[in-house]
Amino acid sequence: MRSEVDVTAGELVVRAREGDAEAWNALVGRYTPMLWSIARSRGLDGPVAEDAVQATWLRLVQRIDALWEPESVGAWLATVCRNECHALFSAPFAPPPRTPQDDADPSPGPESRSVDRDRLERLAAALRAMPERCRTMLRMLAVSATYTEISAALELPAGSVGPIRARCLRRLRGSLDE
Amino acid sequence: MNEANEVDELLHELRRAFELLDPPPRALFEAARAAFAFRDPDASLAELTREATPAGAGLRGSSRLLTFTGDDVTVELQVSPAGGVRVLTGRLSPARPATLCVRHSRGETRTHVDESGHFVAGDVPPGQVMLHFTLPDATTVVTSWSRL
Repeated sequence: MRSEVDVTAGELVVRAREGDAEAWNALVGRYTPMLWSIARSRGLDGPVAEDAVQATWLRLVQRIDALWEPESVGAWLATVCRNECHALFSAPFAPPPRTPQDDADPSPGPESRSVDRDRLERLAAALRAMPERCRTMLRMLAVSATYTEISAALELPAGSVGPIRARCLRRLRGSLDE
Repeated sequence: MNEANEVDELLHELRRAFELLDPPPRALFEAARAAFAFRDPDASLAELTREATPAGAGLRGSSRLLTFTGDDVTVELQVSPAGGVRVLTGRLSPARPATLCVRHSRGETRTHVDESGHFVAGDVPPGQVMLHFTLPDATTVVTSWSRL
């Protein structure tokens, strides 16, 4: 039996259209980290970022039957999420207030005690200090987003993703060496 | 170590950094999975086609006017803040009685659309909201989700 990771996004979309909740859950598991990366790199606070990501999924539920290219669902989601983030920035209406503690993970994993936590914190801080485009791109690459998805999230021509990626990586390494 | 390996290693570290320091909240996965329950492939979708805010747009206390348009159906909606919640008043046209289920972050609010197409739904929490109408012939119309 194949595991869900081997199934293409297009197959998952087709199965979800037929009402297969497992396929939907697999899409959620596959793309939520990417959408979270987009919203957080855009500078949205936790609850607002959650709102943007959830709005993106709600849109997919309503439009999944109308997707022209099921295989490109990742790029479609990235575009919708970018627009949702933009709407939240320009909206005069505050999203629902949430208690900041709501999202706190009460049990830090074993990794948080590991010796390289300092290094990871330094890395995250270096990334946060970068321009938004680099920040988004590198965070998306870190969760295995494709060039098509990155170009959708950043409104970049597909051909310029590679060169910009190289520049952003160079810059990140440079700031780590300082 | 060659360039490509070094990049892979750096990206791997970045992944671990954000998994540790800023992971997507678990509740977000749960909410996204639960969204599938709203799937209604037979419903006709009315999309947001117009949004107007009277003078004083964005100020607290001002209401918004939204128009959703679908195949042969229009939903006009006025959203008025009332304390921490929203009151929705609207009109379905062509006018016909219907049952209305307003879906939102805290569940749903049910009400009726009268013969003249008018409806009122109070106590709707702010956030993503969708209107689901069941018409007399049992067909359904849904509006696109909107942040109210």
